[in-house]
Amino acid sequence: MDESNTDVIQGTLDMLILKTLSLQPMHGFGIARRIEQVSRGTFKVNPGSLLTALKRLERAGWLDAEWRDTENSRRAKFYSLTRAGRRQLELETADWSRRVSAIARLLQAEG
Amino acid sequence: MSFWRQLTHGIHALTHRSAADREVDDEVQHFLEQATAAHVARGLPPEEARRAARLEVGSIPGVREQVRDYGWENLVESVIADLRYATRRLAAEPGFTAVTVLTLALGIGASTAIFSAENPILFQSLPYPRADRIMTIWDHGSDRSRAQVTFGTYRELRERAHSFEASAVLKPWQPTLTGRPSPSGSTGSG
Repeated sequence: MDESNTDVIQGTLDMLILKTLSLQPMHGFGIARRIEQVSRGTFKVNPGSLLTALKRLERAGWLDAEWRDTENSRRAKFYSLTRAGRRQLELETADWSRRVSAIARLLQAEG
Repeated sequence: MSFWRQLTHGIHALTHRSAADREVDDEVQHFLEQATAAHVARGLPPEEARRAARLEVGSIPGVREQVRDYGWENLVESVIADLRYATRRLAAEPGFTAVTVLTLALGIGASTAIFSAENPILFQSLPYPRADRIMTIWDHGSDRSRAQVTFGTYRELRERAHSFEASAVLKPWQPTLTGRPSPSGSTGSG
């Protein structure tokens, strides 16, 4: 039994969704699946948080949503990145890198 | 933040409640189906796969509620529901409602009346230019108790005091209202 914490780091879910959608439009499950796979199982996205985040990002104007047929002809809500969303992703990525390197410096500091 | 989207999507959810709910349901359902399909693809039998997917997704009504909860329109909706509930309860107990309304009305009315009387007396400045420089001059007796000045003092002050731009005098006035059943006194200045 794997006991390790698979929660997405607080405040980073939006960025992960935006990044995932910057590659191609996807539906909710596709996004969750991809985050899990690319992170090699480090992060598992809780569907409630994911769908709420998608609703929030759509409202914010960073995503567009559209009901389309999937390859196995089921209707699903596909999300795609808007131009504002792309800009937001850049902002959040830059902010994240700044923080990560600051934490890395703090953890490596000696004396 | 796209204010316009917030507004239009919220209004759409408010006016098409059941459609919006169904959309959330469909999305959660789709998520579950996909999760099941993923487990089947990994080689689990369908029944097992469904169970595993359900474990993964968690409580479906819970997820649904969590997603529906987002947005300002839910706040509007719960306020409307609260108002409706309050109206229903008040209408069901007219006696209690009447007493409550009356108590509030009297309380508000009395406070307003008291404040309207006190406001000009205690808080607002006098309706004269540079009201902060107006003074009242009193005389005092040998025991330093306050006494009104005589008209002679006023005349002398007027003639000889140069610190004041203008002066006026108040004459005490204590008329008695005579009439039935009993006379009553009142006090004023003129």
